[in-house]
Amino acid sequence: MTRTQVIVGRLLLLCACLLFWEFAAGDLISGVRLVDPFFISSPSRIVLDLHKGFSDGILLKDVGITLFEAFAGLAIGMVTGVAAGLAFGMWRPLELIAEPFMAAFNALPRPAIAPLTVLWLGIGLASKVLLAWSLVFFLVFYNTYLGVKTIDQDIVNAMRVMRATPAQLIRIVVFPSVFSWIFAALRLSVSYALIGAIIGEFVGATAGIGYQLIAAEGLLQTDRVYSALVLVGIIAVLLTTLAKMLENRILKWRPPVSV
Amino acid sequence: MSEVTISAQQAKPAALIEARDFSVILGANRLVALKGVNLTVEAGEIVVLVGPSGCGKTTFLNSLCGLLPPSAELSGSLTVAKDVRLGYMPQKDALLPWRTVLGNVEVGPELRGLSKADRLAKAEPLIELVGLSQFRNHYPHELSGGMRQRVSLARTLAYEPDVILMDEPFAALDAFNRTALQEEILRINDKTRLTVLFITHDLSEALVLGRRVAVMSNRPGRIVDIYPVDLPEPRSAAKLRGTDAFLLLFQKLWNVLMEESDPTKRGEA
Repeated sequence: MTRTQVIVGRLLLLCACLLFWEFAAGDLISGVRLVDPFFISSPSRIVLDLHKGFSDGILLKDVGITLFEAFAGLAIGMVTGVAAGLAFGMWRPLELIAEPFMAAFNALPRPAIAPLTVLWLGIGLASKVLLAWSLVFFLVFYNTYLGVKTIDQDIVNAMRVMRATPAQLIRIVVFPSVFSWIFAALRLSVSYALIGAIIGEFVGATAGIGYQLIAAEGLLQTDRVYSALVLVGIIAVLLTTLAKMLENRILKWRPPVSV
Repeated sequence: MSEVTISAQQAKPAALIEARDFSVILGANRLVALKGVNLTVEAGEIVVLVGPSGCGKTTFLNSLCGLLPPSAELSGSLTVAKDVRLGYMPQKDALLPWRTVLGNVEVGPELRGLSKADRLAKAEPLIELVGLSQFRNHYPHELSGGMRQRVSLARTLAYEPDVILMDEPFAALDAFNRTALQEEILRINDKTRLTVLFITHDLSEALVLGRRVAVMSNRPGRIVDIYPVDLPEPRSAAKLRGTDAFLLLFQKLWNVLMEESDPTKRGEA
């Protein structure tokens, strides 16, 4: 299929779904409906609610706060994850002793820790940053670690024969090799950071998309619940697309992978 | 196990690599990989080590490169002359996938601490030499296997080694590219005398490239004999193969190799 055909196909599918949704909620043909819009809202109601939310400035502020939390978690998670990954990959005793603990911490369900983070850091931004970090860190950590472990031994040998010093080996081989793994994880890291921030907001917050979502659920404002979900979806798609573009640009030496 | 001496009229050049009764035992099950290997490589000659797969040829090269596992037990002597820079061209190209052709060829000079301008001055003519000027900004994944091995050759040369160790560098290539690259080696060797220790299991490749061919036995590997290859120079990889002198020598060494790789005749040394 050509690129245009794919895009047209996607748009058609989207329109069909939206139309059916609108119809099912009874907003397309008045008097004919399958489900009460109280339960499922409808595309037109969501658009109206988004318009309302953005024109009174509440949603925009919430988007900003959630993005800030996610990016702070992402940045700190990347830096600490890379550092820990390099340490584990290059220092065997650390790897042997600490690896099971890393696996155990990584396996903790984040929603279960979320109340603790609020307990420790309060209902402000910090607890959400911590939760976003806790997801990004392990992802970046494992990718860096794998990156170090899977360095092509033939390349290392060729460099050794040419009398590369350890410092040269790290600069010319280890860093670029690990770098590609980290950037391969960037797309996932971005979504994880967003998820972390939103889970944090569910538990205890005074602002943010996650807070709006929970608050609207409590007040049975279905339209607002859906518009918050749509907003999260749009942000996630935009950010991952951006991450993918960055990845393709930086990793342009790789054979193209079509996903 | 006597070494056939080549014409002894000129003063004997210094050996850059010298193995005397060199043996290697590998791993926990104490596999004898090499047993009593005697071989010298002198400046300006191409020596080919030919033998059946798994006979220990690569172990010999890895010993020279210092790439043996720490558990390996060595005996006898293996000396590389002082201040000799070794180049290494493996079967798998081992190019840096994140660097362009130019970037890869520049690695050798870079490791030697040359400035950016000097690296470029060394790399560019070599990329030209292997015929890849148009591809200098391409990444390895964009190149064919033959082209990648050309890059690998240019990278090895850019390091300006005193001895180049080649471990079946053309084994993974198709027949056409293999001959083309052999031709390339001969052509470069005519221009600037190379010192090469070349490893292969392909006897015809050994005879095309080698000035001396050392035949190695099945495991445990030892040098059965070393044969001078007196074929008309300058050589051509494609034309040489049809000549009578080549075929005679091929037949002779083929018989030696068959004898040595015959499992029924292999005595435990």
